[in-house]
Amino acid sequence: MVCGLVMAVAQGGAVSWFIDRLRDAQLVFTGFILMGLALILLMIPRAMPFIVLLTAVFGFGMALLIPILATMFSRYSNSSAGTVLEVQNAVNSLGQAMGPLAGGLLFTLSIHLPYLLTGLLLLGSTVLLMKEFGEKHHGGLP
Amino acid sequence: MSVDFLGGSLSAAVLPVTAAFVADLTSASQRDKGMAWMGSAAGLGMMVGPALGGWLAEVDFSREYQLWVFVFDAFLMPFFTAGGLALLALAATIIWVREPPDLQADRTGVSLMGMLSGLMARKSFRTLLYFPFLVQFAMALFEGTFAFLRTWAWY
Repeated sequence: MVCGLVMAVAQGGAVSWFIDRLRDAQLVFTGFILMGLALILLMIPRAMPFIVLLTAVFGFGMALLIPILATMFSRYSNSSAGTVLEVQNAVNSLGQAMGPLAGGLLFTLSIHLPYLLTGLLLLGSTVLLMKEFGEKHHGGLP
Repeated sequence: MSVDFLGGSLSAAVLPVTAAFVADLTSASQRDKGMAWMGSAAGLGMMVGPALGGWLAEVDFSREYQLWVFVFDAFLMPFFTAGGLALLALAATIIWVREPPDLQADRTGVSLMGMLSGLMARKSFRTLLYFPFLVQFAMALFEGTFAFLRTWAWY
């Protein structure tokens, strides 16, 4: 609920502020950092207000990433944005199917493991992002 | 489960096609904002939907109708409402949504497989595929385990 509310409100307002000031790759970078840090920090607090706050940060990261990634995908098409975005949708669905599966398995080992590993994966992905889409390589655009 | 599968199969194309339409209608500099507005609208729907469904399921309509094997009662109201809203959206799409003439590309002779293999040959595209996977993976993992985390936080 918190995540959905933040995503809906942020995408209608605050995300535009970021879009005006940052390039696509920088926006994705910011989204990965916010999501990754929120997941890792979720291991620390036991007070509900902090968990809600970190959930909001996680949701804001998602709100940044979803429109920007769709835009980046759409730039690979000349006349068939639908095809490219369908490919993205298929990958989205794969992630949605595998997330709870992996989360459940990791949860049986430790309550913190799903958050720690996914958080590290998100933070580590910034390296791949900058390597492939950083300004030196593609001017920040695909 | 079969109905769920059918519903998922039929509705899967809505968001990507809407996103493609937004991509077509916006300039390169405004596309991010267009996608964000679309995401915001979809997010609001996903928030309001469960609340409305919950409310409709609890409203006492007091009557029950039967047609062949189908029983229409209060329990089914959320489904009928969702179906009705989808039909309304379909009518609105037919009436108001038009592809601008300058964007009506000639797609004759365009091979889907050729297009896909051309995309997959590009390293940056293959790398880009990993990012939405990871984002949705993280989101689904978070949603799937949040209830446990909340229990841990309380006890």
